Amino acid sequence: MSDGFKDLAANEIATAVNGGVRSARSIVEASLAEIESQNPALNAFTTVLAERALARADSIDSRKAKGASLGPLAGVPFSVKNLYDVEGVTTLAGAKINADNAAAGADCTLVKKLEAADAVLVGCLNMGEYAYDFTGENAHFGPSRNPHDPNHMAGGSSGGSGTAVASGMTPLSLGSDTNGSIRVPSSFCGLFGLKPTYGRLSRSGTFPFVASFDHLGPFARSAKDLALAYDAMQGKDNGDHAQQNRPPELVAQTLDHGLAGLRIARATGYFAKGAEPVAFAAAETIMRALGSKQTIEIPEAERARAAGFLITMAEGGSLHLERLRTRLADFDPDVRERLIAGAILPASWIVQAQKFRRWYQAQVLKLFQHVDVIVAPATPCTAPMIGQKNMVLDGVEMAVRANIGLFTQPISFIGLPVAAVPVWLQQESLPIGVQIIAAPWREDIALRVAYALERSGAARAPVAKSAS
Amino acid sequence: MDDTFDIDAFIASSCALLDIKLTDESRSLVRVNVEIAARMASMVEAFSLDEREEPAPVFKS
Repeated sequence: MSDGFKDLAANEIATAVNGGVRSARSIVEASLAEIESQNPALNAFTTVLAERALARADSIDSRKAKGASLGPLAGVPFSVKNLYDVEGVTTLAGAKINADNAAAGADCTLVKKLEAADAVLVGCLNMGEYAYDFTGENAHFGPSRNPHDPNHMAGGSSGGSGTAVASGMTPLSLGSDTNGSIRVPSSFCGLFGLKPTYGRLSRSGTFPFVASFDHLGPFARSAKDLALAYDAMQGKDNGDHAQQNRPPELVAQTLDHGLAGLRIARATGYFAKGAEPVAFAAAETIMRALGSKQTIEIPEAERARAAGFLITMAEGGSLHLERLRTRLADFDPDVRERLIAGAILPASWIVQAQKFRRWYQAQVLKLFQHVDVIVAPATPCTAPMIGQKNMVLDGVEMAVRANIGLFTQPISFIGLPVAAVPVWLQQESLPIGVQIIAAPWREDIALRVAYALERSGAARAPVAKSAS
Repeated sequence: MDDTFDIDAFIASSCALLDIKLTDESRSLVRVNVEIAARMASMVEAFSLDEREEPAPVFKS
């Protein structure tokens, strides 16, 4: 029924639709068929927009028939985390409480930009409540399941974004990343994911979590697809106060520039302890593929994580204060008390954390005088079982939900761009991700490295076999 | 936070100040989270910063 669709990368679809080999309608129909077939078991989608998507596909085909040139994502089905505003759909942000809100009156900026490049939105995706989550679980809507083994977590909070792409339901999805919510599902679901520099892409028209750290970005099964989507989403729109006024710096054309001249080092210290061996083995595999043995220490990373943890609690608690007063019983129990605690933290703790953030940013930026790329594990383990509450890392038992992001938090804390790349180690039944970290505004370097790793076979993102 | 600090009283009075009506079920879990935050805060506060260091929220007019 899906006519080979499931294994097609976004760039292959765009080439086929632009070349008249496939119609946008046939592609979108195949995507909708995959959603109908797989979603009941995997629980990625909360809304499917079949009518809108088919109308959009027909419009693209009609323009093609009239001889118009199509955009770089022609006919590519994509899906978005349900904190993105989509016209006519209530923006859930994973919350039962938000289901009472009116439907969004317009699409958010990034949906508009992808559709301006002729991609086709097919639906909205499950997520952890209010994005305060690394698991992909949700008490109201059920967990997003890992397509490589549905008994395992997809990762969060952009769980549905990982599930949709790893299963082949859509070749491209969008998520958000405050402390790791793109990089964690990318790691658990075996995908390429991009968290751009803080302030690069507009967040206008999306439901916030922690304004200091919120980022948006894409998931895909190839670095080239990430680049195409990222390029289409760049540009200022004045709707996001934190977005920097930078002209688009397109990366798709520089992907194949290779590794020559890049100084690459693996993060040591904090990033080389407190995890399962598989996390370090994956990082080492990537370093071998990149031909580097250099290491570098990111100073005070553990303290950075602590500061980020506090700011997250406080900004999250403040954002939801009125709902905590009036709708307490309607929160996901795994989120509620974290927000209450965040709402009552002393202000001086938070200001001190923000001061430390400034110091830390200055120190880390100095490192980029000596290296272009820092390699670090994305998660301390492969995907835990759904429902698993605790895990043991380095002999220490800790809560899963709060600690899956211990390697991602010190990086997004200062907004560095990161490409997550998926690694499949021998004898492992689940993938695990590695962070390719670059200096601010150097997404081009992170994606160049991701592309080189994909070409070498060191990183790969196959559609899940269980979904075949 | 010294050993004599009454964290339950802090939670109760802070929630009363903010008009959050805590349930008994929530109270112990809020305590767990405040204790985690306190450990994080002690780590941050233990680091000596120049008093002229400015906070880092990104805002440019």
